[in-house]
Amino acid sequence: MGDIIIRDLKLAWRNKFSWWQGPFFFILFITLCVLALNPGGTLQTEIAGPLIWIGVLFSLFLNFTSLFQTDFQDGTLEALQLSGVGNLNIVSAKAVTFFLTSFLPFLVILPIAGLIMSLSTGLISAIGISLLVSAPALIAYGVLSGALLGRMNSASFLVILVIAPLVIPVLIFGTAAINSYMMEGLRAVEFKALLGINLIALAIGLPAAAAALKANLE
Amino acid sequence: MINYLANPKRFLNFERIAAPIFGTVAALCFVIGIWLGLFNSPADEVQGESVRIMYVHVPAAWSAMMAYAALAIASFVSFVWRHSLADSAAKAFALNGAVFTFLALATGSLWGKPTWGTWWQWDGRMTSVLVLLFIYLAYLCLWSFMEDETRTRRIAAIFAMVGAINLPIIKFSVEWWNSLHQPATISNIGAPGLPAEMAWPLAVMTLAYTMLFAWLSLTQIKTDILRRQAKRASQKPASKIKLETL
Amino acid sequence: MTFFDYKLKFDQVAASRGDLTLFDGLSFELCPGQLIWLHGANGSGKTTILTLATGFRVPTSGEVTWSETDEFCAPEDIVVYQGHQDALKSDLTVSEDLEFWIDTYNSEQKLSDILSLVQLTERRDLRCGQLSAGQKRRLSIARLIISEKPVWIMDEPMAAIDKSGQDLILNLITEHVRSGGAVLLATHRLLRSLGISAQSLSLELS
Repeated sequence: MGDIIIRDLKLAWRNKFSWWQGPFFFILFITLCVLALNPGGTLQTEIAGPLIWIGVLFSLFLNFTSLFQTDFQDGTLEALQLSGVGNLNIVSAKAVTFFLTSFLPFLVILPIAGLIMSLSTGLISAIGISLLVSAPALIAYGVLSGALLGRMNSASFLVILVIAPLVIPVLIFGTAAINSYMMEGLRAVEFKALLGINLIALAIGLPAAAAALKANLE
Repeated sequence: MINYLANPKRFLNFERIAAPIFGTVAALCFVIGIWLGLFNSPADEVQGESVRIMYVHVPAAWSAMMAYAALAIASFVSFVWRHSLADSAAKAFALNGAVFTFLALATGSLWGKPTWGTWWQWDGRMTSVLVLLFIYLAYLCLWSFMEDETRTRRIAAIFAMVGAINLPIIKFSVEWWNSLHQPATISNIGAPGLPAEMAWPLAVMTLAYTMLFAWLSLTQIKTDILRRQAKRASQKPASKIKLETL
Repeated sequence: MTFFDYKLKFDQVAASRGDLTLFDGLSFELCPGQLIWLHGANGSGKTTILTLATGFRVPTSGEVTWSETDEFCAPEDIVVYQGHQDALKSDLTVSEDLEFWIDTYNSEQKLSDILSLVQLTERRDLRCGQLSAGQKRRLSIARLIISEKPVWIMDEPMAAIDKSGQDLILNLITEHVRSGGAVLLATHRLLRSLGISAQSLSLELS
């Protein structure tokens, strides 16, 4: 499993564009939102958190499509299937590399989004924490949708249909956690709910993704 | 029962007898249930006449959830035993389930306007039923978009089983969120809360919906089996195999 | 390298694509020191036989079994697969690719031995994307050697490769069979007088 993570990180490093596709999309999204919402208005602070969440979600959705696509196309998954690594390890390794290469960049550029929307440091860090805490569930469902649709040629649209109903609870509690964090910190009840959602998502999403990989090789 | 019906031939025999019965019972129950509900049950003290929407709304919501449970079970059977009949069943359950879910949402909305003063409220119950509709639609999309049937069966089955986590969320949403939506009035038969004159039409309508669901599903499964048989009958013979030493 | 006794066995296997039966009643055994040459028209079910032999696919009837010293085992215990694609990452160098598979398979093979075996020693620091089709194919066959599994399942390993490249690949295959391995090989190329025990399995569309 470690070998796969290291290899995927190496590949991502050499193909630098892959790191910045999502964040670039995200910054564009935020910029368009601000322009549409009359820049300088007071409205933005209230809806900044939800907007950033939606922006991140949709950038992630686009990335999930390609999660396993190249590995299916170039035969890597067929080869790994008979290497004794085990599908659960393969999908877990993918989840870890996805977090490092496609999720962390959003947290890194979050301050820029904060600047664009002129948000306070407290608010932008609360948004960052709500995203970070929700990461396991988002990525578990993302890996699942990527594994389900990895053999499809035009999956980007379908991936959204498949993953959106699954992440709705994460979205509800994640965005609610922003304000609660500003008031009560990590003790807020939303974080307990997110913890539960994370556990369920990992326990169901990853094994289902492993089964989907196998099914897609038939 | 499932084992017995797993054979397509026996299923078709069962369908020939059962489908007309289910259809007739459904039609009868709809007539009786609607008559009871409209003319032979009291108006609610608080809600007035609009309470009668309950008789079309509550059974629709129940059937929607029951259909998903059936879909999840059929998907499990298909995934574990690779039985093609389970796929036909799953597809039929999903299509009918989606229709019932839409019906539940639509009638709920009609009921919400006079009682709560709003067509739609983003509370736990309504949101989670809407999610159920999305899951049904995504499931149906999986079938229509995928190219290879062998793979699609397994992919769709996995997705349907994962989607089943939404069922307990719907069930308990009313208790978890304090909202406008009233908690289920009928927890067990004979419980106070719903007078018998209202319980009767509700029970008859529930039977009507269930029978309608069974009738629709049976006929759709039959069509799918016949389509497969026709496809098989028209196929070219299998490849000839020759093994020899070089 | 020495292998234990092992066997890949098809017993009255039928397979279908969707609802359509591709073939029925396929029985054969693949034992140490044997090659089975699988050939036939496109769409006759060759790749399906290969994916049955790897355990990716399950037969609609009949049984595929893998065994090692007369005991049933999992397919990954004795089988390694080379599909249509080479399972290479064009952004990795040749030696990085091989090192990855050596680690993944816990192989005892040495990188330098493997490189000289597939004649890629001078290209070890090139990116895989810069290799020719024949070199890529040899690199992907290096993975089969690294795996140290006895049964190679190969899907068209010589497609789109020039004559001398094909001969190099054929050499690697016969060498593996001579040293006690077994190969299930689907190819359009005519195979004759390889100097090893070989059987031909042909699928004819009727």
